[in-house]
Amino acid sequence: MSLLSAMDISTRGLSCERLRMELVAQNIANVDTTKTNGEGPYKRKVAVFKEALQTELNVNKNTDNFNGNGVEVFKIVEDNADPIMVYDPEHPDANQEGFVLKPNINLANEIIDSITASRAYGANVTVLNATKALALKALTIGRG
Amino acid sequence: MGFKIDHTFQVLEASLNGSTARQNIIAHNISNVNTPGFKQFLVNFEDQLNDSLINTKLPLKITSSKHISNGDNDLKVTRDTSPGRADGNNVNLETEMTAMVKNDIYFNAALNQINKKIAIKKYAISDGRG
Repeated sequence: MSLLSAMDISTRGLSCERLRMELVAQNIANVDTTKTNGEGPYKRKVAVFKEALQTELNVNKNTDNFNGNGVEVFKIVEDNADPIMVYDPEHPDANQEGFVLKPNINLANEIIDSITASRAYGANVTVLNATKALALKALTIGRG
Repeated sequence: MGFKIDHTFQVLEASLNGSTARQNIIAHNISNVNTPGFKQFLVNFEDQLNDSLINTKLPLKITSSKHISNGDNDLKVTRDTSPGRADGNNVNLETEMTAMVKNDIYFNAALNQINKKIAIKKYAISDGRG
């Protein structure tokens, strides 16, 4: 276990939070998308995070039971909540009653998600910088 | 007397190792701050180090007296099983950040001690003229 592995752990945290931010951007950009390759309107996408553990091969023998290795994206799922119905008979995608199916995106949820992701990203950056400071300090051993 | 003698270096080395492990654990906890159901890791290597000092055991495991130990010692890590937030995650960001700052200071303190110790050895080698 080294300080460099701590930096790797923080890096994994950073990329996962960035992915979450990308999904928020994707969701907000598609807030009015009524056509997709599949059926129906765009569906909200959510990242599912999972704790990453070291594999048997590189598990650290010095620490009895710490085998943490940061975080990973388990999968990206689609939110299956019902689409929002908007009455707009002129719309080309309107059904026979005149309703258009709009994506199941709640802007408030997305904004909250982006704030959480941004804060978590910042926390990981802070840890990364602190670890870097420790590693650089360790390089001064023997110079004093 | 001579050069071997005290265990200062070994103890300080064990402190640095423990501090490094703690930094890893804090990084792991913080990177999982948004993982539902995640339970944070806890570590307290100071108590273990203290125990081994009180029992006058070296904090280092050496399987043969001919081996030079690299200073690695077993570190006990536990999971905090408290329920935490609604999504089952129990990482407390504030506590972790404070732990990290403390760890930073601790690491620097141990490192300064090592450097000071080396300086003393150098001074002794140079017969007090260095």
